[in-house]
Order: sequence, then structure tokens, then C-alpha cells
Amino acid sequence: MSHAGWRRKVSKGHFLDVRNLGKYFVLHEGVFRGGRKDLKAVDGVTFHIRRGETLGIVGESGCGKSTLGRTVIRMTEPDFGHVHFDGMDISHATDRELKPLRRRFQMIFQDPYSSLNPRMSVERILEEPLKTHGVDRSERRKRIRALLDAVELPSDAGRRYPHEFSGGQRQRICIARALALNPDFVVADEPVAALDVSVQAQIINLMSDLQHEFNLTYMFIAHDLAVVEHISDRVGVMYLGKLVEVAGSYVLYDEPLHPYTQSLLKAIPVPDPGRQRDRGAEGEVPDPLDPPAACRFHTRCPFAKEICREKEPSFREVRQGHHVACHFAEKFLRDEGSGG
Amino acid sequence: MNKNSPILQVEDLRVSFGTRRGTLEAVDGVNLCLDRGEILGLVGESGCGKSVTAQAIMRLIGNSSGEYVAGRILMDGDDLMLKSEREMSRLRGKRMSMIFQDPMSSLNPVYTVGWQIAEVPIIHDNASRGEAHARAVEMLGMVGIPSPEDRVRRYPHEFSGGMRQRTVIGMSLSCKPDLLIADEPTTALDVTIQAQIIDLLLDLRRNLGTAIILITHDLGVVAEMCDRVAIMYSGYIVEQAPVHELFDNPRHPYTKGLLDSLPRAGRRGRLNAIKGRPPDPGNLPEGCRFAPRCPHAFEKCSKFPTIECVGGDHHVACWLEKKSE
Repeated sequence: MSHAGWRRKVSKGHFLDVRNLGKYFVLHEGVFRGGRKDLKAVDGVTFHIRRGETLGIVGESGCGKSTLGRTVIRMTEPDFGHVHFDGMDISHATDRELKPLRRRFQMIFQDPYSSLNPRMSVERILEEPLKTHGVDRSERRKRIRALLDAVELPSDAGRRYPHEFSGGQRQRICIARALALNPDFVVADEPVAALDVSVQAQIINLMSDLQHEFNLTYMFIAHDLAVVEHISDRVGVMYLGKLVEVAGSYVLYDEPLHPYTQSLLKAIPVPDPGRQRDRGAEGEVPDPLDPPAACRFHTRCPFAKEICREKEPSFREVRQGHHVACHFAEKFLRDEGSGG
Repeated sequence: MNKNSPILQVEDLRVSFGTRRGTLEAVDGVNLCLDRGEILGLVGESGCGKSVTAQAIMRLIGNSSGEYVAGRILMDGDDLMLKSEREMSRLRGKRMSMIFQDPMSSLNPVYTVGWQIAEVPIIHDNASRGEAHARAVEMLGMVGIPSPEDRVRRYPHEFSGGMRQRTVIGMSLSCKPDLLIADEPTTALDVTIQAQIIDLLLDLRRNLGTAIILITHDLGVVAEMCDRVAIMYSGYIVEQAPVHELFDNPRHPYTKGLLDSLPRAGRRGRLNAIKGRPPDPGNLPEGCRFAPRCPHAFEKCSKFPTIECVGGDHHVACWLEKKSE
């Protein structure tokens, strides 16, 4: 199938390369729904993911992190920008061109209750993607057994229905379904947010085991910064539709350069009663329909200056592998280097 | 009223629900004690009975058929179990109040925020409308809502999630109660807003001296807010200790498991998850209910462990404590 021209547009580069991706939702307001407003859910986001790594995406509700995840794998159509998946531009492929690729990227959702059809047995749930992609009957049986085994569910689980399982087990079923077609890229949108702490740890462990076993690449979207730090190699922070900082997980949590990342990290309650927390960001996230001009964080930023209200900061590499969108990122970096 | 006596004592609280599948024991012998101005964390996973305990203390359950509550709930030495519904409604909102996880469903969408707060002093303190309105403005200001004179005339949908929770907190504290029960007050909020609400509750405790029972599943929030912690599992308290003691020296295997399963800064690699899952309340194991998941279970665990003091103010319900004897 290598004859398709669009696949060869970008041959070098990363496993997943996202350039200036955007998604605006149009809202109609007023009595006759004549008023028109753009909700800029994802507004020009650029990042990449290497093969086999996990990129975490964090941000508060409404920052566009879920829309970003869906737009990357074209569950939601992007309005502008490019997504190159393994060298192929999938953001402009037709549905027909996309179908064989669809088996290579899958999604896991937050709510394991609503994402499984209650009237289908686990076996049929797992069989459906295999059928769609033309796997024959005996192969399907084998595959289902292997999947249940991989997510550590008992082999008789196949004949049972979703309501017979607990939240953690249902999430295992969702993971098995996502893995049915042997994908190499999985977008996980808040996969553990609905689970209890002890079960959450089981699912996180399972996801990292599967990553090693099947050489998976993850985009892990969550609001829980501790979970994201734990599972991710690199982490991106979103604020009002923009990516404000991307860095290696250690670096981001040790030396965050964007003031928003700094205040997010200050706000996490740490399970250690001896530690004194600094007070984090003041105020609340502005209305995403009417975000502040220029730097979107300037209304809550303790370091905001004139320039932050006038000019949007560029998203640039401040040091090796560390991208920040803040006018003063270089200054923060220098201050840190000199011990100040 | 003695200033040193506890504000709340709960003795052997039991709650069960009659269902078609038989009787479900949601709370099975809970003992709690809360000093004035103290913050007690009630921690556990979903279904462990922490919210039911809170609602039973408020006497919000036990009034309809199929709900059974037994035990003693002493507020300032006064047994709430013996009070009539009339007497209880005079206490609720006045001396004890409660806030819930979802601030939107605690507010009435068709009344202004100011009216809903003013209602509390009108009912309990016989305040005039003018006084009550002034009190509403004062409360909104106290919980950190900017320009309260203007905000008081607005409706809940015009507020953000964080401001709604502030409003609910303001409403619950407008009669300066001695006891506030906060059921997952920050769970529905974003981290930066959660941090603000935690700071707000701590400030209010300092200024008003309100004792708080904080129900949560988040051990991070517990570490930041609580003086003492009670860990619940499957309907009873397995461990209770001052917050530093509990985090530094957890004794019950379930508490240890919970603390170990948290992802933390600078500690990568596999998480030590607790195996299995909590028991089905309709089909509880005999004896210690954590035993089927416990790595240290031994013969004695087939008997139900009682909660015993293991030194200081530290109480544990585990047979391991007595294994050496």
C-alpha cells in the first residue's frame, strides 16, 4: 500500500509528529442562535512522541487536553495543522485511506461503565474490532484468549457481561479491547481517574507491563499530576487550548519553567503531613470562550509584565528537550543556574 | 458546656439497609471522637461506608423504612439518636452542617445565591430580611468571593465550580456551627481550586473554631488538612491515629497498602498495588474483612479483630498487633 502519495510526505522525523494542530468548536448563542463564538479547544499545538515512550498531558478541566487526544487520532476532525503518524500525514487522509491505519491507534476512556455496551458479552466486545478488520474466526478465538490473559482476567470472563465486573476489571476489558488489533499507539484519556487508589495502582502497573510487552507508545491524558509523573517519560502542560510547557518528566517536576506549571505543582496536596505547601495560583481559570489576549496565563501569573499582556510568547526550546511558552523562560533558567 | 469535652462522640454506630438481596451492613461498629476545632479525616475507598457514617451522624438516614441505625451519637453530651426530627432540623444548619462533593446540586438553581444563604439565619436566628442579607454579603466576603455585594444577587449558574463550593461553605457556616461535615469537598474541583478551598477551610477553622470531619479518599488532602485520621475499610475503622503518626508509622496492612500504592515524586518503577478488591457488602468474609487481600494473614484473622490502642492515640484493628503475645 506504499503507493499512496500522502504517506510519503514526511518520511523522517518522530513516530508521532503534531504541528500547529487546532480544533475550534463553534457555539451558537442568542435567541435565534445567530450569535457565533469559537471555543478554541486546541489552538495551535506542536509536539512529538517517540516510539515506545509515554507522553503525559496534564491540565485543568476545560484546557483542551481530551480534545487534543481525540484530534490527534482523528476521532475529532482537526480544523488546521498536521499530524504525522509514523511518517504518514493522517490529518488529511480520507476515511478509506485511514481505515487500515485505524487499527494502529486506539483509545481508552475514563469511564469504564459507559464505554462498554451492557448488552454485549466480553467476548463479543473484544471480537468486534477483530471482525471489523477481517480477522478469521479461529484466529479471533485465539486472540480473545490471549487478550484476557494479557490483562489478567480469568479465562471464563469472556462469557460474562460488563455489569458482572468491578470498575477496575471493566477498565481491564477496555484495555483488552484497545489492544485487540495489536496497535502501536494508544491514547488513554483519564484511564484511572474513576478508580479507587488501590485499583488505580493495579491499572497503572498493567499499562506499563503491556507497554513493555507490546512496545506500545502512549499518550496519557490526566489531571492527576502524581499519576502522570509516575507513568510518563515526558510531560506536556496545557492551559486554555495551548501547550505551555513540554519537558522530560524529571525535569518538568524538578525545574518547571512556566509559571503555570510551577503553580500547578505547588497546588498538589502531597501525602506527607510534614511538608508545608506554598500557596499556588490565585483566581480561577478564565472563560475558555473569552481567553485573555497575548499570554493566556497573564491574568493569574505572579510574574506578569507589560509584554505578557501585549505579545503572545512563542513556544520554543529553551534547553535541550525543554519547550516553554513564556517570555521569561530564559530568565528563569538563568536564575536557576546561578542558584538564585 | 465544658470547653474540654469532645464536641462529638460516636459510639458503636451501625447502619444497615434492607434490600431485595437481604440486609447490607454499610457501617459496622464505628467509634469516633472529635474535639472542638479539630479536623478529623475519614478516609476510605468507595463503598467503605464513610459517607453513610456522615449521613447517619447528621441523622439524614434512619428515618425511612429499610434503613436501620443503631448506636450513640453524642453531640456535646446530648444523644442525637433520641432527638425528634423537629429537634434535629433545629440543629442542622445551626450547630452542625454538611457540605457535599457536587456544589451544583447543593444549590437551588432558581433562587439567588444571596437568598439561599440568607435563608439560614432567617430560619435559625430569627433574623430580619435586612440582617440576613447583610449576613449573606459578609459570608460571601469571608469565603473569598470578590465583590460580594454584587455577587449576592446572582444565580448559581453564573458561578464557577470553585465559587459554588465557596458559596456552599459560606452557607454552611453562616450560623457558625460547632461541627462541619465535609463530604469530598474538593473532589470535583481542579487542583489549583482544590488548593484554594483547602486553604479556605483551614482559615475558617482557625477563625471560627469549627470542628470538621473531612471525608475523602485523597491521602494528599488528608496530610494537608487533618489533625487526626481514621481509615475505614468495609464498614469499620481499621486504624485511627494523629496525622503525623499515621503517615510515619502506619500499623494496619491496609493503611500501609494504601500509602504504598500512591505514585509519588521521585519514586518510579512499579507501584505496590493492593491485590484484589474490597469485599461485596452483601457477602462479607468472616473475621477480618481485609484478610483475603492481606499479605500477612494468619489463622487468627478468621476472627473479627477489635480496635485496640497501640500506644499514644494510635488505634489499630489487626491481629498482627497481638501476634507476639
